[in-house]
Amino acid sequence: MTIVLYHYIRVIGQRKMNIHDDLNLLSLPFLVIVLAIVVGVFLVLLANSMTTFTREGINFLIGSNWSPSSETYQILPALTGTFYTSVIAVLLALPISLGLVAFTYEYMPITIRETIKSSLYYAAAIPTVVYGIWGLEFVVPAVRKFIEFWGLTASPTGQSILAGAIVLAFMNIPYMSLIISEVYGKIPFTYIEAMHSLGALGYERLRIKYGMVKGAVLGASLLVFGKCVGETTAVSMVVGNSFNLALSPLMPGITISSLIVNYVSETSLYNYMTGALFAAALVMLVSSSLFILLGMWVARRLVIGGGEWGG
Amino acid sequence: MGRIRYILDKVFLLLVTLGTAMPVLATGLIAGSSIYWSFKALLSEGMGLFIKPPGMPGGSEIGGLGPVILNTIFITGLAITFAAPLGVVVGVYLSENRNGKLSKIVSQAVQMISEMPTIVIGLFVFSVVCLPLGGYSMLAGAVSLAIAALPYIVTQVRETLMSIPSTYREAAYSLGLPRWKTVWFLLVPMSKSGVASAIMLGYMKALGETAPVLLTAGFALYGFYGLLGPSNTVSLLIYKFAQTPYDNYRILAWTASAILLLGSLSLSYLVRRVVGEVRYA
Repeated sequence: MTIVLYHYIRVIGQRKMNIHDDLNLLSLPFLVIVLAIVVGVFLVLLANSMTTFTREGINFLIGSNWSPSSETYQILPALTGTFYTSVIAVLLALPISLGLVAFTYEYMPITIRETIKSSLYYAAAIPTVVYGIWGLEFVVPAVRKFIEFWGLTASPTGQSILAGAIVLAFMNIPYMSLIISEVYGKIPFTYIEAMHSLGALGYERLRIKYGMVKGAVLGASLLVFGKCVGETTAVSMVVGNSFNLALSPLMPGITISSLIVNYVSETSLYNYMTGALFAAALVMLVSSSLFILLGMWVARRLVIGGGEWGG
Repeated sequence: MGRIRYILDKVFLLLVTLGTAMPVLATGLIAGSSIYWSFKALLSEGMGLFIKPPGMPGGSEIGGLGPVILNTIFITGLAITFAAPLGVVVGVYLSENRNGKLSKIVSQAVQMISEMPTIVIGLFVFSVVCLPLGGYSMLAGAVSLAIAALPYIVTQVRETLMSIPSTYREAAYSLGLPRWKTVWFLLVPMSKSGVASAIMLGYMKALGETAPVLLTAGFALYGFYGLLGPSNTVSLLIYKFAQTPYDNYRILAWTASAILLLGSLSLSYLVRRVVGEVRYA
């Protein structure tokens, strides 16, 4: 009897004392929604793209025949277009961001440095579609003038891989500079003092400090690359949206995201196009996440874990 | 030797100044054209710019953004009503169960949503909401904007709550307060400005995102069609109108971009101000 009572009291007591469960129980439905969104996205993408993968096989990725009239969907030009724009974008954004960080940290007094950093913060808040209209009104005409000036055989409108890359680069420069300067500003003051006491000039200081932050630079580049791969609106406004395998950056191209945007309204006309677009989205999701994860892994490993001065 | 170093340094300074000038010039062009064209539109249309629908394509009349602004207010408002409770509760949970297994999974899931290309979110909502309902709707647009805004709210709420020292929690537990009361009646009110800034950040994202609504919200220019009717957002209008060859539509696109810039920048200013103020211990 006493044993039963003892157990009963323990159970009741535990239930009262088990304060951990209240919070978890209350939050559970909300957590389930979040998990359901992620699982749902993957399930929907997978389920819809299965037919395309079975119909096209590996040709979906390595073929360049996109003809809805014969229900053949192969996305190689979109795939190369996506990587082409993103690579050029990172190659453009990286030196400019590094230059911006060097300018702020090596040549500017601390008050101006803070002003520049906060304006970077605001520039990073500009919605991407605004960069898109800027690209359409300023970058595309500039590219067209360049093509006309040299008399090149290239995109007649100026909408091209290069225009897409320039828009992507300028869109990501504030973000990239912020990540790099975050780490750059954490370099211990004793090191900086030592450099100054040796009489190192601005570019020499950058060279030494670059060695210390190159992990962050690599991480930032990968992150920006991942973001570029997934970017939709601004790119599809300026890239030209023509389905051809562009070799020259001055030719019009297409990216996976702009492929989806351009064809999604026609899906009801064809039997298998919906599946093809979902499969393309899946490919984009996987490759973009891969680069972002890699970028974060590199940044975390080389900056926080491996760095000499910790975080 | 010394001379060359100084010359190199000057060359380097010139290069980095140019590197800084380029993005400054780009943002200057964005801000300048937005202000220029929106003033031009305001001068020709007056307050009608915020009331009237857009003029005829290619016509001489610019028209206004009235229905689009109304739709934007409703669709983003709806999105934030979905995202805010979800984001705050999940953020609180993640902050209070830092080492739990479920919390690690959920935090990974939130991370994944934030990394998703937003067009994928649009495509997901398109097939889950639009296809069953049989068309573009405000509801679908709001759902996809809510998903896009969610990770920002969760992360910001989690960071805010994590910055509260554990002594506050210990004090509450020692008074016998259950955990949920501690969190919801003590920690959340304590960090209410942080939570508010999280919601503002989420709203800013909902306002600026275009790709999720591109496949879900439709493109209503001349009226307001309710929850299940087509809707529109300011960013979507910029996307569509900037690509038209009509001058009056392009002017409207720049005006919309001025509105969007004003909204985004003032929200991010508020977020920065509020987050800067929050300090414990």
